[in-house]
Amino acid sequence: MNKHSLLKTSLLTLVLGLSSYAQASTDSATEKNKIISAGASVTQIINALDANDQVVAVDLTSKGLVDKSIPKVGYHRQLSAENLMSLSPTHLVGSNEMGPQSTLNLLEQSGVEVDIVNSGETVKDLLIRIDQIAKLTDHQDRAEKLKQKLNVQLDKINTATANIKTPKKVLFLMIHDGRPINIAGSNTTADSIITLAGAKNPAATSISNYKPISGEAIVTMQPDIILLSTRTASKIKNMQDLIAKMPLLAATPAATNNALLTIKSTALIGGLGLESVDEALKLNQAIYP
Amino acid sequence: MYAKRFSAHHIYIISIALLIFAGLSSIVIGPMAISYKQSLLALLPGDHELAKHVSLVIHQIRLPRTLLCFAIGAILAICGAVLQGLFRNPLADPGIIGITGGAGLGAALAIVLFTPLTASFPQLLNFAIVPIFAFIGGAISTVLVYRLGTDKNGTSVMIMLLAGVAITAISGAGLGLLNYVADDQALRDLSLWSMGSLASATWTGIILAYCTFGLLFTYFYRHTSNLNALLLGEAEARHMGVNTQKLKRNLIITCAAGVGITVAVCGPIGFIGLVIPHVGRMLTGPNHKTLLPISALLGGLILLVADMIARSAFSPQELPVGIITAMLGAPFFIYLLVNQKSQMS
Repeated sequence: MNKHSLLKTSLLTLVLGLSSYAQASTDSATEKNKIISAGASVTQIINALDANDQVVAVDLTSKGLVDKSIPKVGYHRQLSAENLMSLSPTHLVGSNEMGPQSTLNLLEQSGVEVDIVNSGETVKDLLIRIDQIAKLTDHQDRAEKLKQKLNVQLDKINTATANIKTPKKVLFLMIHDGRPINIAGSNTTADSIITLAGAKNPAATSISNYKPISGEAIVTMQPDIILLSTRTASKIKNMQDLIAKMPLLAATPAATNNALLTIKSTALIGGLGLESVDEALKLNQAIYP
Repeated sequence: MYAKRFSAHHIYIISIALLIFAGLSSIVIGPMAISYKQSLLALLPGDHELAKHVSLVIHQIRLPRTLLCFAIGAILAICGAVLQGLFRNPLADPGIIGITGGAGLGAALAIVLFTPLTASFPQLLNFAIVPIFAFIGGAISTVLVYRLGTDKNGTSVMIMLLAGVAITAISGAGLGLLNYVADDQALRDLSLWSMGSLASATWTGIILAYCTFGLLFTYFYRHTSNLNALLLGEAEARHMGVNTQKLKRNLIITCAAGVGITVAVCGPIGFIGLVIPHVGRMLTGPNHKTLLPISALLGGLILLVADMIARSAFSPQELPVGIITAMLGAPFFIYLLVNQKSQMS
């Protein structure tokens, strides 16, 4: 080993030593958290709480929500312990889907705090999640403002839908080239957004998750509005394009009224998140003007 | 098929040296920056006052993975060598007789149908459910293929290969059906599982893999003369006094068990079983007495290198090792094909 690499090694050892010392003293308020955020909905909340200076890495679903320079740790169910440890985090925050368990155990053994936050599909779950993350990041004051903002949004929706007797029927279609068209049933964030917006998802009664569907089945559901994600909408720009892809759709009220709307793709990943509520409000304003 | 180019002893010595070098590299190289000295110190017994994370990374991550890589790579390679000898088909690998397809279907069943239920199970069972199903799936498909290929006149290798294709197709259809009923998470888990990974190396898995390797190698090695005789043709082997029927049955079942266990421990890992025996034959010739040890050494070596790439190349992300073995193996296989074609013409 030459002099240079010896110096490098000793410096590295020193830094690692210091960082493990830092891990040991996370309780002190002066020490900044080093959070790995595993899940778009967690990252959205961290951003909204203005705590993103504490984020050292994110998972793949949060890719679009952070600066390009922030390392990506891959899929949140396939986290690699050593790779995560190499970023010397103090916290790993994610949903109960985060894993594998062996990685989480190893991280905990090495002194990283593994925080599993609520990942449900209801507004109540979202509010709990905000509180949990606010506590972790020590940004409780901002959480209050954020929850107030959410409540204002929800009140707006409630006022707008208070007098609606028959809610509009809205279907969310997921379209990828070369694959059958999928429809969002129950247990999807798309379904939660539709319901939250004061509309009805006619697919939710018979289908759960995303399932391929025939044009005929869509016609029987008679949707008033068709929803696409922004990702799909970059290829299918209007109702004509959609009908060209699925001609039977012409026989739905949505086609007659040319009612094609889009929601942000990122609002659909990782449970009901802040963006999902934003999108629900926009959807509500679009369908009940 | 291949000319013997080097003395077997030299090849052994070189491979063992490379294997030791790769093994040590795999312990000192990783996404986490740990000095060579510290990494190696952590391996020695006694208290060396190392930082906690250093000893954790070395003992719980790098060492188990390194050990597991060798055993899994070696099992896949010797099973590939035996199956290629048995079928006298250079394309034979565990996939071709339906083992991998069946194991994949078994694992998919576990992931899609049982994972949602396993939350309430004890943790050990939770970890074991996919491997157990993978193994059962592999075993059932092998038995089916063998039964289909066997009648009172003996086992027909051609029928077995065709049955293997059919079983793989049926497994594919089953997988398709499961894909349809699976939710997004299960789908994603399924596709990741199908590429194989050594990330969940546990000591139980390592002990199982080494026992399997030891038993398989001893068993195969006892049959090397018979396998050599079989290279001349089945009728010729029978004339030389080999009970070909029994030999085929026993070897296929042991291969299936071996591969089934590797799939259970770390998912399907392709191309090692297909490519490594070819490399072995290029180096030491087709004699199974030298081919088996060299395949074991090279299989272990290549999987070690592939795993090092898988966990370090895209840090802090980790790739499934199956992607790396395919990227290393497939071009090499094409090279072999082209080379063989030019030799023939």
